[in-house]
Amino acid sequence: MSSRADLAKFLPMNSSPPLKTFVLEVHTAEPEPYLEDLAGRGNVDLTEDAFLSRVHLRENHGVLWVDRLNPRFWTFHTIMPAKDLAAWLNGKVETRRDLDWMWLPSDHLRRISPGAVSRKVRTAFDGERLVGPDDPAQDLKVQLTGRDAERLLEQIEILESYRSAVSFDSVEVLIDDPDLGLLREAVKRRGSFAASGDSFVHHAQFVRAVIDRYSLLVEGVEQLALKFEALEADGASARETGEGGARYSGTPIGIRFSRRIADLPRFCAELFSSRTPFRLWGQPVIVGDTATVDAVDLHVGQRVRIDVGSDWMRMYILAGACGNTVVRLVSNLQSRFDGALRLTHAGLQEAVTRRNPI
Amino acid sequence: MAAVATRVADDEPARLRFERQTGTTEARVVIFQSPEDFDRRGRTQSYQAVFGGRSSRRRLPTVSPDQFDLFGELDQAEMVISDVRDEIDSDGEGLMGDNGLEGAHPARPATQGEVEGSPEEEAQ
Repeated sequence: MSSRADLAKFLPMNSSPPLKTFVLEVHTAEPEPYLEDLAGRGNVDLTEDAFLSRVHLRENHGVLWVDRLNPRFWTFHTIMPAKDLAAWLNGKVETRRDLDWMWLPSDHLRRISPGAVSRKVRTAFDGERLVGPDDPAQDLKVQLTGRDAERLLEQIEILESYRSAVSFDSVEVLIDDPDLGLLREAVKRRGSFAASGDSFVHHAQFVRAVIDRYSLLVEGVEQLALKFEALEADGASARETGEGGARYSGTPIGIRFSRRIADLPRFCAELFSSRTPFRLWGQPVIVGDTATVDAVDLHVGQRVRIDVGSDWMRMYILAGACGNTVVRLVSNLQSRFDGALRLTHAGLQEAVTRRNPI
Repeated sequence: MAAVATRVADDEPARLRFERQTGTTEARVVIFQSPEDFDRRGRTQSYQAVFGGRSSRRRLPTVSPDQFDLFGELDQAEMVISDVRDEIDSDGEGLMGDNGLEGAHPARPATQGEVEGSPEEEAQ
């Protein structure tokens, strides 16, 4: 039976095609039956490690290693072609409400690892549907290869007219660790990694660090969820006795845009049209320059109220809702409307920008 | 061991000093300045400064031109996902069918005074 130590043998860091890792957010209380349901009966092999499984994709003749050490963010490692793995995972994400991608915000990619030397960066901003036709930057895609490649983008950001159109989509970095050796790692916004280098452990550590920072952001959102807790009176619930009341906690999540929404009805129609990547459905009610929407997040099938103003947005996340809803929206707004948006909550803004590495 | 300690101390004289064994003391490495001396909030940067500086003295990472195109590999994955999504979006019903919301209309903003299902709307 295989163990975690065997991963380096089965997932060589110099393979062709190279090692890939995808990260999915999974909501399940019973991980083993869930994985079996995902992969199909008989396609999951247990290993000596309770959190590691081998999955056979019969249709692609491929093998995946699924690491569930982080119970919420599972990692899927493979050396099979990326398109095969992506097609399989995408089929699962599209048909389940308890699965989602890891939607890295732009700055998580920009500052992917404190000790890394960036080698290649790509920004991708596609504002065709949300940005006004007269805007100077409707669509901006830049790819640069070279040491500290992100510096060109910093120069573009200095230009006020283009700042909102800089949104990191992919990065490739080199990390030279005294103990683990050299690692070349490419990361995309949807939580996919491709790696080559000296050590699988190094790659796994890198992925884990990215997930840990992302988790802090998602959990930070969930800590701000709106919640009413009944106050207890003499041991009986306040509802039964009619005494007491409720304690309110949480706060809406605010986003301040660096650009104005040129056409609010059009913006809302696009944002809440159920279309990808937002996958929000709702009927906006516009009063003056503010839209109010009781939306449904189609990724997870949960309700979320959203208010939209001329240069701001407010989301009301209820207790128990998934913080990934907000992070997905932030990441997609960065790549579709405003790469320079800010969250109004200081702690969340810090978690989004990662200016102070954890 | 003494040789290694000497080399490490020589590399970072502002932070470390190696003292050889004497008649009364054992050999030791004296740490003048440690990230632990800082306030908790400053330690991370301080550790990064220590280890970042250390790694910069090592070989400069280089990549051979014949290595794999990692971006290209991930782009293939992204294309597969985008193709599937475009297909779903172009069905006209968005993704609602996937989520048990068949029959729901894609969002169209209601303007002030307009109420969903109002007599005016039904009359049209």
